[in-house]
Amino acid sequence: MELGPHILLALLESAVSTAVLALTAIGLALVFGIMRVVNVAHGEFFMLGAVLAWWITDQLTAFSPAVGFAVALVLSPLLVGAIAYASDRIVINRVDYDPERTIVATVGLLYIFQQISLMTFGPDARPVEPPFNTRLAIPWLEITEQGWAVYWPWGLSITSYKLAVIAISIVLLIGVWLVLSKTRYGLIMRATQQDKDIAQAFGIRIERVYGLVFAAGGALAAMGAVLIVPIQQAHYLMGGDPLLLSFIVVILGGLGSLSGTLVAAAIIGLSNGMIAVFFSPTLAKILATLLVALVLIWRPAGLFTRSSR
Amino acid sequence: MLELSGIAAAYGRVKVLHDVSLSVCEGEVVCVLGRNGAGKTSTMKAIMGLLPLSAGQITVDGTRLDTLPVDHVAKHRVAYTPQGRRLFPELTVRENLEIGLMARGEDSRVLDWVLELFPRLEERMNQLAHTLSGGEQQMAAIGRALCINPRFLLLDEPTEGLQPSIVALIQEVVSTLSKSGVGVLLVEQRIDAVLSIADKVAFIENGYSREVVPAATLKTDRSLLEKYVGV
Repeated sequence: MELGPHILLALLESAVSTAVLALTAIGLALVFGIMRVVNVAHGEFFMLGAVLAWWITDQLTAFSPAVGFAVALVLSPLLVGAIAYASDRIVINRVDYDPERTIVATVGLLYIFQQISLMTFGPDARPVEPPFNTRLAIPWLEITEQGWAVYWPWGLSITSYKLAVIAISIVLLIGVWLVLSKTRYGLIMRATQQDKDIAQAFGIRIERVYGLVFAAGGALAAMGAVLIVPIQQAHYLMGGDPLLLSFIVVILGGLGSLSGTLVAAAIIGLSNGMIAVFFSPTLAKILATLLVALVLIWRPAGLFTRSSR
Repeated sequence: MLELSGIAAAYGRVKVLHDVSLSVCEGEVVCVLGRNGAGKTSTMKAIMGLLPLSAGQITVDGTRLDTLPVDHVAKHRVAYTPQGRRLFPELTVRENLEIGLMARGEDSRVLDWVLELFPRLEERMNQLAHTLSGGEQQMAAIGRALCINPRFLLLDEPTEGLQPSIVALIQEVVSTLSKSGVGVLLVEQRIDAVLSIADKVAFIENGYSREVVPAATLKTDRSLLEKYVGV
């Protein structure tokens, strides 16, 4: 394949992982931005979402893969959201949302969820069948003696499911933006994020807000996982990569900045995918981590936040 | 009546309030005066539940506020404008006011009343709070507190750093509120501004409440001001 079509293919493949990364990172950014909790267990919510999606589709093998997947897409994030809510009530709330203690507490949650998944579903990687998977060839342009001509390079294609992952993620991200910017509950969340003491003085029950934000963060990670699990397999150790990449994205975007998180997800997701395709996935992670280190040294508030007001 | 009886409070191990007692009746303007660090702002925070008490009690018409969660205080129509305004900076003026309206489920009539008191806010409704001038921010902060339709309003240094025309407007609003039955507890540094609108002045010294005197007496006898405030 020529370089042009090869780059386009790499970009499309990267866009799929970028979309899922954006969903996962937005969940982490919400939790940090509003609750000031560094949730080390966020990757495990992603893992639980994927494993539960496998389990749900496995229970529904009598129906078509589309039915099983649709049920998993709704049920898995709800279940993970409920688990996250319970984690907040039972653990995070009990340590008074203290930044240092919540890090230790969520490290504990990480191991608990990992081991529960291992003991319940076993160590094997589990596949989920995509609901639809038509391969779509992509045209390319070339210059001929007669001018521009369209042709179909061999290997330049993407599946309909991968395009759907990008589309669904965009719809979900728009949904998150609409909830935050246009609803009464979004207003309460933004007020709590900006000044929790004054929010309380105006009757906002911040512990209830925190519980729901933690649940929403977990559900968003699970949503990303359900979308990616027909492409990657579900496995009890799969939470590490999304956690690392989400942290990189949230730090680059500016802790708590949702728009910054989206821009950073696009930068990291696309560059990560391109470097992984043309060089190696390990090099992609090394460079992303190096970038975070440089940002923490030179611009600790993140690339996309105002440094002072 | 809003009543503080022998309250004590601390930030960690540092005790800031030892024994503060004072009361505010509906329609009354009470000003708290004292030197820096005397405990004026801490008293305000304690009333709102933002500083837990270690002794004493705070009541509104006999109902104890200090045993309630912080988010229940607004339900008793006690509103707070903190020192430095503390608007939600990335929310618009409209959204800041909505937060006030939500506290007790007040409707647009209360909002209309607030905009009548501060017409300037109407022009700034869709502007982010941190982009407002200092005076406009103070109007928005007081307006947000008024959106809970309070019976008691706590104002912590509302004229700090503001130009004289805005100070005059805030004084006028405080007078209007007291005439309509709102009790106002005011912490203020501008002594002369206070004396023109306050009914009573309560002096606080090192976390202890000292004397409570009618504001009118301080216009002729400034010895208490010299003793407790140093002016």
